[in-house]
Amino acid sequence: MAAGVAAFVSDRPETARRDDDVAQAAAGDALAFERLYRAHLPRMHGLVRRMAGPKDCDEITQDIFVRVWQKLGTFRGDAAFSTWLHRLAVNVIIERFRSAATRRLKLVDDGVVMETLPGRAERPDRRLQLDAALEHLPDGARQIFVLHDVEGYKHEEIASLLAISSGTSKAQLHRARMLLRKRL
Amino acid sequence: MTTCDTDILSSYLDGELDDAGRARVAFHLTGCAACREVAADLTLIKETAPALADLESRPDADLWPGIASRTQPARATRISLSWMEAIAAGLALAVLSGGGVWIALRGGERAAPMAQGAGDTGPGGLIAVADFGDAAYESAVKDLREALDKGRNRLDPQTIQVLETNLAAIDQAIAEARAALSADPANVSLNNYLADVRRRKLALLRTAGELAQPEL
Repeated sequence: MAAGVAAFVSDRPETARRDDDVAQAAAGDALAFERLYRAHLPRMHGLVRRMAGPKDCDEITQDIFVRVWQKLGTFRGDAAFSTWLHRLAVNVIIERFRSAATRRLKLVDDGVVMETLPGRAERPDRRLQLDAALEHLPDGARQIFVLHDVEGYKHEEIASLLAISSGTSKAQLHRARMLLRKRL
Repeated sequence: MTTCDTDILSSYLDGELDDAGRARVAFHLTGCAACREVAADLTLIKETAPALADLESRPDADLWPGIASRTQPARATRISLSWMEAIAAGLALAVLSGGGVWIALRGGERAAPMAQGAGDTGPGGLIAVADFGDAAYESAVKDLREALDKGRNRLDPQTIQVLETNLAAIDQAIAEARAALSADPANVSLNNYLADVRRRKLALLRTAGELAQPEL
């Protein structure tokens, strides 16, 4: 790349370059899509890890970006791309748990999982402590905790996303907090 | 709330209780140290949680190869092939349209016109008589052209430009061959040349049409 071009590129606002990448990727530009992937990977991977746990995190993250590629043509720019991406990612994660049988199991499992975990970890950062403790929550409680307390979704939205009642969402949230309290 | 009921504490902390419920819990908390402790812990968790949204993580291995293999192969390969084919067609046609007719005319071979489909070679593969009025050929070209036009917005402008340039070159070569054949209809080389150019046009339209198809 010529120095002038490089300077131009590096001087352009990050958001403008990202917008260009979104438009180019939507038009089928694989390189632009890869740039989007690399720019958003850490945040998406973090979201998946918190919501789904570490086990299938990489696979689900991959699924998210495949879905992004498939759906990019529907992105109209009404909201920020990061917002659109976040919603899409949450949907992909939830779909993963959506089969009725799986969901039922995840949401009714008891707190034994948490009780049998090793003792409290000594971590200097409360945020990191909480993040680590999340991994040990039952799937259903973890999803609802992340959606409500971390991502700011309302119980009504969660109920719609997970096809459960608001009451179940509230009960699972409280359960998640109580389990985390024991852990912390 | 006269007895300890921690199940209601989250609703209390989230502001989801009505005034009476909130007052009952607040009153209970004033006299119950155990519940106050639980409420304090839950408050801390609730207040810390939003900060987790900023925590990022990375996979141990790069996920891009896996993503690319699921999203790019069909599209990337087709684009690459179409470009190569388009460029190859353009280069070949630059020669064909500039000197193909002249070379064909020099050949001077004669053949009896045969009604064959476009691009067919005759028995032994030595001769293909171009049939200007071949309805099947024209219909195929029309269908492929329509398919290409329908999916045109899926192609990037550069690809469209290359395709159109090459299609124009092919059409020019066909027109020149037809003009030459009108004066010498039995010329074997000219007929072979025209059949070859028409075959190339079909192939290019077909490739371009595939490229313009929506992803599955």
